[in-house]
Amino acid sequence: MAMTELSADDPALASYADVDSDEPHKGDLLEQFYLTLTVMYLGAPAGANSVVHERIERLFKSQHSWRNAYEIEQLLCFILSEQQLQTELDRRLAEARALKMEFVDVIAKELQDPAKPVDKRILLHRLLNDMQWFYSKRVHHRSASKRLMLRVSLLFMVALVTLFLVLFIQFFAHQAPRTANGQVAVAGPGAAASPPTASPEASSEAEKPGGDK
Amino acid sequence: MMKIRNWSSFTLITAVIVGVLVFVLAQVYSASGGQLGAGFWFRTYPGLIVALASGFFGATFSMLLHTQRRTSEGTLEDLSSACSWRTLIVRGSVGLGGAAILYFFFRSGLLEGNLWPDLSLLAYEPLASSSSNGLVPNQQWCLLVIWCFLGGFSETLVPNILTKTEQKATIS
Repeated sequence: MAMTELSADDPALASYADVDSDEPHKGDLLEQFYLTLTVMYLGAPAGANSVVHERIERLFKSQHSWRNAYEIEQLLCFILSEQQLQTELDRRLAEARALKMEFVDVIAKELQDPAKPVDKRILLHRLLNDMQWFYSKRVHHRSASKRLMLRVSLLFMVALVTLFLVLFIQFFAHQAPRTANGQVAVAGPGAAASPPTASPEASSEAEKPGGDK
Repeated sequence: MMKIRNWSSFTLITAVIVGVLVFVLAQVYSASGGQLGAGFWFRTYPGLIVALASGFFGATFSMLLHTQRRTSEGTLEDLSSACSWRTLIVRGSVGLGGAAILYFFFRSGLLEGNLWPDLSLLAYEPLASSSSNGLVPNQQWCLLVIWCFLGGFSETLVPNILTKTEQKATIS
């Protein structure tokens, strides 16, 4: 079986450093994913210069990103050998079941139906499409969770600091109008209504921080 | 294009709010006879600002607790809408509004029982140990903070009080 003619030394395939700048922390995973895709591509039967091959090679040479990797993965469905296809289909079905993905039973049922022969490449493509959608949603879910947590925590801290500030200012504002002998100096709705529950001694002591200055 | 439109509306709304605030502050300043300071704000309607801060704190605490459940159980759509600043500001405003209306309920006498704070008795009292000069907020202050916190925390407390008051008014 003739393999796809692409040298493993090809700089476009060998270099994995060219990763999107907005996802540097995923660089290692992306590098590993590209490695798998490269090996799969090299192991696939060599075809004529089809549109699929051209597209895959162009994607390998362009900037490495998850989007490009996903596209390569989907395109590989149409050029894999029968053995590669079966292996990939079995593995992906097991992965989809483990992730409890919706509609996985529909695909499994179609595979087992002897009365209706199906194109396994189409099924694998559909399955990969669903899985990539699932993983993309999960990534977005994580980033949205992170953003929500950050914003709510920020609001909470602002509210906490505000409450403490307000409580302290209220305390000094309550004490400030009193004179040294504990009498209310400024008439106001709250000041006039304040009962003398605070002892004069305590009040005069309490006003020292603000009142004496 | 959409961003520019959003920014221009945002700038317009901010300008209007700032304008109204400046106008109100100027009016308050002239009404206070030039005694506008932190003390003025805190002595006029004593406890109101504490009530608002407590309500806002309650609302954010409620958001914080719900966030943990949302991130684990919510769908992507739920999360996207929940983490927008608009939703967060609306929830915070609900806490502020609930606390503000509770403050006036406490003074109105519409709420009966000893559980509610009496605003005319807000004060600070000395600690029981005579050697210390420290003051602590009295029971009424604590009740005010707790109820306003609950008003902001619970999304149903204030609406329930409003509904019951409405029913009372209808019966009478």
